[in-house]
Amino acid sequence: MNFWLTQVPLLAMYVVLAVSLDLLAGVAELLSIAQIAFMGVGAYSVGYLTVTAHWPFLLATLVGVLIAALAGAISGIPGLRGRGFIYGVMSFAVAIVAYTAFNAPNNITNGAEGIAGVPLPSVGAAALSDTWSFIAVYVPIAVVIVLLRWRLDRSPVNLALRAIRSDPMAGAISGIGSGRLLIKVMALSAGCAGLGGAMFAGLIGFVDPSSFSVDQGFLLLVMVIVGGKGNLWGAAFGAILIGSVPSLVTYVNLPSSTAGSIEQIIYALILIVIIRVRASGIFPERHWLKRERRGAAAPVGMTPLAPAAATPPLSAVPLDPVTPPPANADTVVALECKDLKKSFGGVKAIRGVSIAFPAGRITGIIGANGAGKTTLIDLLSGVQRPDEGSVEFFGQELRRSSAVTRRRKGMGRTFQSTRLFHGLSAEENVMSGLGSMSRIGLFRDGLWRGGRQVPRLRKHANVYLEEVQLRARLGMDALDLPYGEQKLVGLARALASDASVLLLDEPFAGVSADGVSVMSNILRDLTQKGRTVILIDHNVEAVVGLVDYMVAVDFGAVIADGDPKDVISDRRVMQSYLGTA
Amino acid sequence: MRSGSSTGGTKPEESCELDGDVALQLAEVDAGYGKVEALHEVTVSVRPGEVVGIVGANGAGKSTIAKTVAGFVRPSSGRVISHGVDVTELNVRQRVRRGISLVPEGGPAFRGLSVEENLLVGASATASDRSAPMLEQVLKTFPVLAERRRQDAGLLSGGERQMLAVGRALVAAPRLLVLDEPSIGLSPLMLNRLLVQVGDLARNEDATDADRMGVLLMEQNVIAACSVVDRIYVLHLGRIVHEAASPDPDEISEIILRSLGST
Repeated sequence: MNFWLTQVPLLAMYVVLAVSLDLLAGVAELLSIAQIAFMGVGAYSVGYLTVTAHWPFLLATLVGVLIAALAGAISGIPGLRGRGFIYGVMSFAVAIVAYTAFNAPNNITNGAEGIAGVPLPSVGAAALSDTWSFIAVYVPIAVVIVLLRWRLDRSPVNLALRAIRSDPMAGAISGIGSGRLLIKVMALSAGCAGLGGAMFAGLIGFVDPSSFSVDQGFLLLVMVIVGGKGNLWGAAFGAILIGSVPSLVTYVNLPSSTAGSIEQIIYALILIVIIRVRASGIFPERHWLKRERRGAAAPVGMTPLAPAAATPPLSAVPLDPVTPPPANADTVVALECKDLKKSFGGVKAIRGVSIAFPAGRITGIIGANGAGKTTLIDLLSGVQRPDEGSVEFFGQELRRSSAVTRRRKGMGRTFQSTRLFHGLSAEENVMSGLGSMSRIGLFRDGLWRGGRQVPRLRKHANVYLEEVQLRARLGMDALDLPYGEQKLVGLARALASDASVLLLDEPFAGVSADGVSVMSNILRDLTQKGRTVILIDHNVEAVVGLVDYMVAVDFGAVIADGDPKDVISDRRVMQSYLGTA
Repeated sequence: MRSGSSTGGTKPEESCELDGDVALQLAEVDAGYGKVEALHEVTVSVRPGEVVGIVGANGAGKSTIAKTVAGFVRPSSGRVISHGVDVTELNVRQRVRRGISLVPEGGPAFRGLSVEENLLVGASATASDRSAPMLEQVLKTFPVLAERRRQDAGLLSGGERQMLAVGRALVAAPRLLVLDEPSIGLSPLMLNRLLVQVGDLARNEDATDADRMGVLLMEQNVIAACSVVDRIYVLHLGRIVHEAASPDPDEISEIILRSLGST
């Protein structure tokens, strides 16, 4: 029997472990060392259930996978609050606790002695007895996991995960709530780890704590990092590369006393070389457009954009007209805040603001730096909670609803500093703002429908990109765009939400005159379709020319409101804001 | 040699070629990101005590010029010269020590550090003995920074952060100040105050000619830029298409719009 052939089932197991870990650590960027713990849970479940309880192998595997998935979801929740670093530390703790539990003398895991005599995997009377039969079962399992992950990567779930890892708050504003989706991802990933554990128990026939130590957990992470974080093929390749190292060391027949340290040195060398030479791994993560065209995605670069004079194709936008404002629209209030108050560590940012924003109109908010304008938008959009006061959306009290809920009710917003999702193309940024992205489900939209919805999402996103006249930039990383164009992409992302009320924080800042006129036309057109726009900006000329109603704030309170021309000639406004009196 | 159509205005002065008293000289600089070339044969000069503006539409290459001057982007050809020294091959830190300070777009601040600590970081970069009086000056120009001295810079509003970023660059007592879109987030009152202050610092009566600070201002807001600059360049698709002394905002806006229409 060829030596390398006997290693194939083991490598198939590593592929299952790494590909599922990469979904969590790569795509969702929740760095986890605990994958090894869930693998252990799967292995011990199978060991205990088959050896002590005499369950059939397949049923034991199924239960092991479910227990691992449950453990993965529950143990991951506390770490979600902190994301990144905190999540990593929490997963470290989980790995240590699990190892200690496996190692402690007890009747289930049998402490340091482990569980020996795990039967060969079998279905009914048919058992895997030789290398060929293991290969015939384990390789297809790995292929199925790879295919599932491939399906997921082409689905909108992949986009949602990359968006929320980049900026959870901007994700929430696009309606992509992160909590539930990430918990499901953690469960799925841990479940696959449990499956890997069952494969391990069946293959080796012996389950003991040393196979699930923390350094083994790091090894899985090294597979992902070396192969290319976030890239399915990278993870699979990394698993095979790193997984082959122990086999290689065995193959060259090193004395067992040195073999272990030689292995460690090889891992370290591979890791160091990869990080020096190709920090994002052998197969780096790519966004969708680049995946399709394999680098042929022409560097559109700074090709000239269409001149501002071209009429935006607004008719092409798939907007359902919202309840059009009646003739006496001034009486309909889209959004109203009453006596809002908010302090930050003793500094009163908002001190009793009441504004009624008319439906189907553009309201402009102006005010000095630090007057509380952004805080006001944060309170209206649910990014922050007021200390006192209420917010009503078409007469409905919103005080308790989160940013995600408000987004689903029909509020969209942009941010002062764009907050585009980095690592996503301009097109993907706009796609993540689409209304349907806020109802994305891991199983229904990811594993079941796969990429089927994507062409439609992409088509819609392109309409909005076209509208801000940035169609030529769709494949570029959003953060490589000039600042003014990033602002336009941010607007397109907010427009894509199909919101009935849009809150825009300094949309014109850093945008050149031609861009400002494109934006102004879009906003005017939106109100024609019954949408309500609320914007903050310092470009007084553009704001006065655009808005129907203006509010001036200073020191967290309204100092003037009404017709824009009246407001900017108000003495206090001129003094505190324009500096002309 | 400049390509592109020079639509009038004054010709670049021959006198400011590579001599020691030029605060900044970009000589026929080509630069870009990877394969994408963002600047083509850009030649720009700033003399000590002079405020020079670069205006143009989004994507014209203004930020790329700012990054090329500061050392974040290396030109693929052409030279960057400051005060008689060729700094083309120097990195960002070395350029800061030579007195080149950039205020990046969007006014980034060190969160978790107080406003004062942020300013001190700026001062520590060059450890110039002019830092202390400059700090006084900054706190006087932006009283809100003095008020919030001990607060976490992360709690500042967008506009206040912009002031802090400018302040941080100024306390390093730079010989060349590069401002990338300082108007972003600033109210008209504050923008005006900032530009007047920067102009006054550049034209400092007490300093000798060669000692004065040169200012390179990248700006979208043509009216604001024209109010402060001595000279202006119009950038279009990475090329300088116009240069003018004491520019008129209407004329400059017209030139920008015309160049957009011609592509």
